Amino acid sequence: MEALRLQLSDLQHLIPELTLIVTALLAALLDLALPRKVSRSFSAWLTLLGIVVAICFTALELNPEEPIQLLAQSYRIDDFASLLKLVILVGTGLVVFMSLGSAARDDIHHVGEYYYLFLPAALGGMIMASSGDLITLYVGLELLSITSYVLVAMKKKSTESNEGAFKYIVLGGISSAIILYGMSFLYGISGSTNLLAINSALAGSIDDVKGLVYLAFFLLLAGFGFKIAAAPFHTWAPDVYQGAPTPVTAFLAVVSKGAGFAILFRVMYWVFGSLTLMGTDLQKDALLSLSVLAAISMIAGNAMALRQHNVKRLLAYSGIANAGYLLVPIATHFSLVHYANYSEFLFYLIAYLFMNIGAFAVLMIVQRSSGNEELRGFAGLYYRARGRPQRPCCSSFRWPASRSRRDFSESCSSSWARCRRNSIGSAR
Amino acid sequence: MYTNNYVIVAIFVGLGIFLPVAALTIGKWLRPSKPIDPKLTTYESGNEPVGEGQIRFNIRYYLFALMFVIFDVETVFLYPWAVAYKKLGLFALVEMLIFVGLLAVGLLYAWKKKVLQWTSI
Repeated sequence: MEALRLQLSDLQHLIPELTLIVTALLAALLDLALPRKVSRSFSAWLTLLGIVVAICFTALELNPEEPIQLLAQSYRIDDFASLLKLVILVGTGLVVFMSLGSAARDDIHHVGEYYYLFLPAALGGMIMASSGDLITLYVGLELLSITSYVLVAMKKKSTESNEGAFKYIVLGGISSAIILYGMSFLYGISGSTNLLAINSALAGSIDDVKGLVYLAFFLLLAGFGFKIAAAPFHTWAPDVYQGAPTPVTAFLAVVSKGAGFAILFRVMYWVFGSLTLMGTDLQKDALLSLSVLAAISMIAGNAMALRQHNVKRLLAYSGIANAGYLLVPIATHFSLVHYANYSEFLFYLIAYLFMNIGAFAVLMIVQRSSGNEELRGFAGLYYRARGRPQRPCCSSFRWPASRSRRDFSESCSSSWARCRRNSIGSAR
Repeated sequence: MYTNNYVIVAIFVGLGIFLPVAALTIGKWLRPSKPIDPKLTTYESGNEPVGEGQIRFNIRYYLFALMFVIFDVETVFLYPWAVAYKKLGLFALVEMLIFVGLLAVGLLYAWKKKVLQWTSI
């Protein structure tokens, strides 16, 4: 019983998370206490400060002698979690940085809230990365999701933003319900919410309850598939991405997706794909369905991107296709010959983080100068901004080129669009 | 066996269907039948019902419903904590203070944003 209680000494391992909470509270209270005349840009700097401090604390936790487990395994601080936390925090920091000063232009009235709401969202992602228990996992997921719903609706007067937020909250609620339903079966089978306990229960009695295990697996896959926007669970992404303020779109595309992959990775490796279930039908089928999901995402995302004229929708489909590429390391068989799945996953995620945030930052600049977010806004960029147009090309072309030794076809959707944009630009 | 547990659930489902059906049927047999017009009107605590049943509710009610959630969640967590207070000790007291403090920030936010005033929107 004692192990289930949080001890005072455990708190030192939670310092990165606590930093974010304290900063968010501080920013919220300051925002409430200061008179309306005071500029709210301090909120952005405070948020950035909190994130930088949290990054430092997380970096200190890297490479522990052995994984730290809190609350009877429900919260784990290992390198898997710490590295993903760094990705989440860096992503959030860049998003806050790129939205500096853009809030007023984007017709956002609650500037203070806009900035400090990124902190609980990042905190939710960190909890997801660290969780070893279904309950912790779900709490983190909801913290991230609910904050994202609010952030998407931040352009209060814009119909598109409200529509996007409404779609997001309805579909997000449904997917959370599906995840919970799947979790309830896992709990019913194993009598525990702990991922490792579930795994050992499955390894012991897989044949008695096969139908239920498969049902739970597919429910979880559908729910997580929604959170990472993998086709065929992607339909919300283009509308939400289009409606949200551009930095929030970048946040959804990078941090939300990364955190979704964190729990997918954890659940797949600890529960369904782990070594104790090696060679069973369940493991084979689980990995096969992940591969199928990956393939559908790649095909659907890239094919549908060809028809888009709005850059945000285009990037949404690029995100769907990239979800497929990110699923590949999870779906690949984990064996003695091939065990670097996590490094491959993280490598791609980091590249995706910088590429995507770069692309959104360029979009913001072009949007500001051309006044719309259509592809034709890029037309004539060479003449409008001499010397500068190579920058967007750098930020996006660097991406396939740097990894040509791996699969080249990725983000071909955005490359195609870019070719089209360039041809439009030169035609005029 | 795992499935045996569901026998009890099945019994409950069966009882749940049987009891209301039985109660209503027996009631129908026993009661006198005098259908008159006023019996078909909607019951509204003795008032004359006015207008449609499906109307648009004032948005202010939703804000109040959200505010209610703050106190609702507070009660849900405070009650079990208060029951087990002696076992949990000082650390749980501090935890609970932090929790109530966070909720208080939420309340403060609502107050500052004029949610507590009826005419704020």
